Amino acid sequence: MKKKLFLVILGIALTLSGCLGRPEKPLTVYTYSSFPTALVEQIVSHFEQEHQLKVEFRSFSDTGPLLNQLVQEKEQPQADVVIGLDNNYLPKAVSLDVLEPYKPKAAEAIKPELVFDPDFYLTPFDYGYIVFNYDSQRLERVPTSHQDLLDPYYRGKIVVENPLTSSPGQAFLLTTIALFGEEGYLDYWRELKKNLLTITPGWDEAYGIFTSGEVPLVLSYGASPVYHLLYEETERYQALVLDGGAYAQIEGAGIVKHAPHPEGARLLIDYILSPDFQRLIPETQFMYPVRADLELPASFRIAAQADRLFNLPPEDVAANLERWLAAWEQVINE
Amino acid sequence: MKRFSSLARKKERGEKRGGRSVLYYVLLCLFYLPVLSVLSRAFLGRNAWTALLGLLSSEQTLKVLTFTTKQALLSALFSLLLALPGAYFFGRYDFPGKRLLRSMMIIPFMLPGILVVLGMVVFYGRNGFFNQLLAYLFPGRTVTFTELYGFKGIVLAHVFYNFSFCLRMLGERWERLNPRLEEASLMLGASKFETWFRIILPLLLPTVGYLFTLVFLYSFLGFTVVLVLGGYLYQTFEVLIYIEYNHKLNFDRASMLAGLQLLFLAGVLAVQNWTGRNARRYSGELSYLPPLSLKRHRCRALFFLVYLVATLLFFVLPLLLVSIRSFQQRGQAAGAWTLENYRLLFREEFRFAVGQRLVSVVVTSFLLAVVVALITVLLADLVAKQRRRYRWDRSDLWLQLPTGVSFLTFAFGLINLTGRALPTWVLLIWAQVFLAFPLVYSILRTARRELGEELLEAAQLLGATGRELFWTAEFPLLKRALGSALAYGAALSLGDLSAVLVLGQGKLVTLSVAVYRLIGHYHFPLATALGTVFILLSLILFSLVDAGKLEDHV
Amino acid sequence: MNKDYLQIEVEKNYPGFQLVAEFTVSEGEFFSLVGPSGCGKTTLLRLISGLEQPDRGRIILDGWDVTAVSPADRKIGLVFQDYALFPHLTVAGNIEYGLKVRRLPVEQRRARVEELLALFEIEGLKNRNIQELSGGERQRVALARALAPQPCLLLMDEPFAALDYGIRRRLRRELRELQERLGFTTIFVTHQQEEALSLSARLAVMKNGRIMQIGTAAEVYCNPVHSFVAEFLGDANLIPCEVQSTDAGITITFDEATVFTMPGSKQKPGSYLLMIRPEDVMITDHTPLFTGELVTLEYLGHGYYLEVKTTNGLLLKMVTGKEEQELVKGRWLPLTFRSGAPKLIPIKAQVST
Repeated sequence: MKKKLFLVILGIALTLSGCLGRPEKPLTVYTYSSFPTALVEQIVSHFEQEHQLKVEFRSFSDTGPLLNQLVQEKEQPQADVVIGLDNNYLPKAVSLDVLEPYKPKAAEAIKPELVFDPDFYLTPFDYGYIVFNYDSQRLERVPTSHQDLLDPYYRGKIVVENPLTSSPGQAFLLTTIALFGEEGYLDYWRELKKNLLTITPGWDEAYGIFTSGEVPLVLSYGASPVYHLLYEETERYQALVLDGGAYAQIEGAGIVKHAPHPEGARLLIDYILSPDFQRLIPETQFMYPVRADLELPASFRIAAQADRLFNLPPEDVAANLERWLAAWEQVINE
Repeated sequence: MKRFSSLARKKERGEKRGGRSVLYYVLLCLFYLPVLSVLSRAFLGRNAWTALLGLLSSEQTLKVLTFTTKQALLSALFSLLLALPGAYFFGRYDFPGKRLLRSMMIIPFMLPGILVVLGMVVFYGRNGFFNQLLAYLFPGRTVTFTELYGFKGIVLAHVFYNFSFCLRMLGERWERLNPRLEEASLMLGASKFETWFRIILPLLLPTVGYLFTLVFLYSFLGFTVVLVLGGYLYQTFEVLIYIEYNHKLNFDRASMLAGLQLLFLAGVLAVQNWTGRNARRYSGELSYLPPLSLKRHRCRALFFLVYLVATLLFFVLPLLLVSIRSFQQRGQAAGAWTLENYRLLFREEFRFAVGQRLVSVVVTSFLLAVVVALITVLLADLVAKQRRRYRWDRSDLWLQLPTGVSFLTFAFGLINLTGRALPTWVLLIWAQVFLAFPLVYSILRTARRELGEELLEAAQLLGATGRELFWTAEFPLLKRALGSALAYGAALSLGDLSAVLVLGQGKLVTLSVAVYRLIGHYHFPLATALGTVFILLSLILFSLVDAGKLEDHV
Repeated sequence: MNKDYLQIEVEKNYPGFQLVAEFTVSEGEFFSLVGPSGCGKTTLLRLISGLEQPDRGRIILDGWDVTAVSPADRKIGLVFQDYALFPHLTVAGNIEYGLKVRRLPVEQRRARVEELLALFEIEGLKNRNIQELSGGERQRVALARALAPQPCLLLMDEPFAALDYGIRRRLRRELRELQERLGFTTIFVTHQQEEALSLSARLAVMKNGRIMQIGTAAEVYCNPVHSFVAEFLGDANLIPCEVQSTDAGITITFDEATVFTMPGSKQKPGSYLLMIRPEDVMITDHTPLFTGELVTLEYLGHGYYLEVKTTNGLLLKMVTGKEEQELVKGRWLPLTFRSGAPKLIPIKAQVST
């Protein structure tokens, strides 16, 4: 009886895996799992109506698994486009040789300082500032510089994300390197450590601790307050531009090398730079559009405006990041 | 006569193979092929051995190992110490609300980590409820609890996760200890203290040992909680693996760490198996439990009330506070009362953040949970039935080892092995069955062994076969164990986040995934509302399962 | 021999149930508590053992008031219905347990265990696990374990209930012999009248938390003071009747017509139940007391069981020997009572229950 049962199970499994062979493969996009549904639906319906193309999205828990998947499929790529690799992942993606460069038609419309990849392996489509947010109801002394954060007044009042496990965390580590140099950033962290309530693995936990009223300062995005303004009609939470600048996280999209549908892939890259699509970004992604010719919605008046960017050249980051992280890890563990 | 001989033959065949059937080996393959693929990646590559030596001799590895082991030991110890008094009352008395409490005890086990963290912060945090209470109770004096972020906080959170599960499992065991045994010991002249040490403890010891190991393993593999509360000062192996795999994209090193962790935990399980080899779980029937009455057992009932209030305060209130905030505007403690957050669950905001509608998320989650629970229970019961005549031995240990494999490792191995050639849901069910199997198997294995042979043989001789035998003889006797096994199987599936995230590829959205996506889109109040819905629905599911299994008890 | 070795006078209240008991047991006696389930016999046993506390009253064992003494210190042995053997200990370990917790030196313990193993003829089981034993073997181990610390009193709660009929009879005989040989005072609880009658010197019949009657087996069987006792201990015919005193004895009137005299007896006049055991109803050649139609006939092997419907509307149960040949249903039988067998139970005794 058990044998029979087992055979039945095996049979079902085999039949189901056999069903996989599809006659026509849709245009396939890989992205991370929190990519907004509104944007996904916009792309899908646009391609269906304008180009009679079916688009399918597959999402991954994080950038790591996404890149891993691309590497595994290198011989026989399944995806056409990848959306959501940010500036810090460019060197890794290029060295893994999984992308195909493509300079979109609207390349000139992108703000020049955001073009982090002159070869256009990745095309920037949105960006955000990694800055501190503060709770105006709980913080009396608002800092103005990174140095201010070291004041004992802020002891236990700050939560940041771990640079090893989260991209805002990594951006902040790079900010400190940009500001204090390779010689100084570790000393800065040694002092800052005393004021941190905790270091969380991701943005979710840090922001949760912040909004539950446990700390008045959190490392987040420049447009985070927009959400609270739009959905909760409150200006209680404010973005904080320290030292007059910020680190920009620039998200890019690229074409997979030897993609099954290179034509469709190019159309898709062009489409996400179109004004129609770019206009949707601010209030769905809470990020800034990359086109210079667009006006921001009114709600963005509360978002951070940075006069200068602390971004380091991607090659420098690629060459040194592992070392910087290791040194940081040491300091934190001291 | 014919029946007799066929029965005897069956017995003989089983004896030769030690009760290990084709199914047993198939399960081993399904469980270990992905794990082996990780191990081969780790240890068969070029320069693997030099890398391994480097890893073993590194200070960090040692430090992480020490910390992980220490916190896991303490978590297991405190979980059990705290569960023990409760288990006594659950195992020895009947009282109003017992069923509901019993069903509630599975809840922490399956909550998304982020909700637990939020609960801990809201309750134990610097500005949390507990400190406000302390300030109110001791005005003017600075009595504060500031240990949440650090070692003590991590242990506290792990105890929070595991203690109620220990209470339930141990209580169920205690219910099966014949109360006559204690009385017999008293009548033979032993004091209460001696009775406890010479009779009750030895009889509970196998279960205590098993639970200790289980909590140790769960805490050892702890992830979110450790990361958030440890503030990176404290790392577990799981964190190291995650960083290597997800961020440094160093898959070989990740595999090696996973392999090391697996070997270490396999060692722990083997030691537990070895020390517990003579400690069998003895059979016992459910006996009538006297109602706990304030009048008759005044001291005991009062103690239990205090215990109950304290545990509810420290372990239920944190979650309750999170739920309460879901009824307040913007999820703020000072916000006005509103149902807005719940209304939004049915709106486009929810779909835009999560990708699917609430109904489909709920259906997906519970369907998956029920399917996984049923498959796991079916497989586990078949193996347990085949092995019922044998003591708990090495063959069972092999089926317990999955407890020592972190989900991350398994998913990684699964992808490595199949290259995603199988449909998503097959991979997901495969992974979740793997996740749930050890616990479910252990519950059913014990129950099957306790069932005894005479009864089944008697039923067989009376002519009951196959399905008939199951429904008339086995099912009524196994009802309780099957109910518990189903509940835990479903709970593990519902609580799983990593499997769905890694293998689901965004197509399968379960409740825990939805909670994360809502938070990822700033919808914290919605996430807490969804969490509350999640808790209530699960409570209903478990109450149903528990109600079914308790029928025979009343 | 101490007549008042164990004195019991207790009251225990539960919602909807009250237990009141007062009796004494003499030293070396084998005393049974018998009654239907729910009559309070097990509760009474647990009160004596100390596992339950009485609401009122006292228990005196060998001149020592043990009412407030913990069960561990009462020196009372108890054999449970399900034996409650410790599953994690061997046979020897179980027997030794009571000696160990009383801190006896090892040599003494070992000697005593060997002694008991020999006494119960279970030397071969010494190192066995409890799970490997048969029901009868478990019973012996339970008894040996209870006797090992040499208790002042042995309590047994339906110890044979879980056993087959054959084994039960054998063990019963063995227990009786052992008890006589060693002389330990025993209180034995059972719901089986046959067991109680065959085992005990004296017994108490219980119902609804009350002791209905205490006496030797013969007394209680032949002279029940209550219709319940009569019916519980075997079959009985209970016939309502009126009693008048005469100089010669008493006359008993069943109805207007049927009159029966018992010469030499003394009884207050009034309403009674006449109790007559089926084996004391006989077919007669002389003047019958009753005549009736045979309505039920069952073959018992050693005789027949009959039910006869009498002319005055009674249904009489009776048992005959094998010799009665011409029994067929529908036959009319002339019946009478064995002389001295009928007993009178006052009707007013019924009211108390």
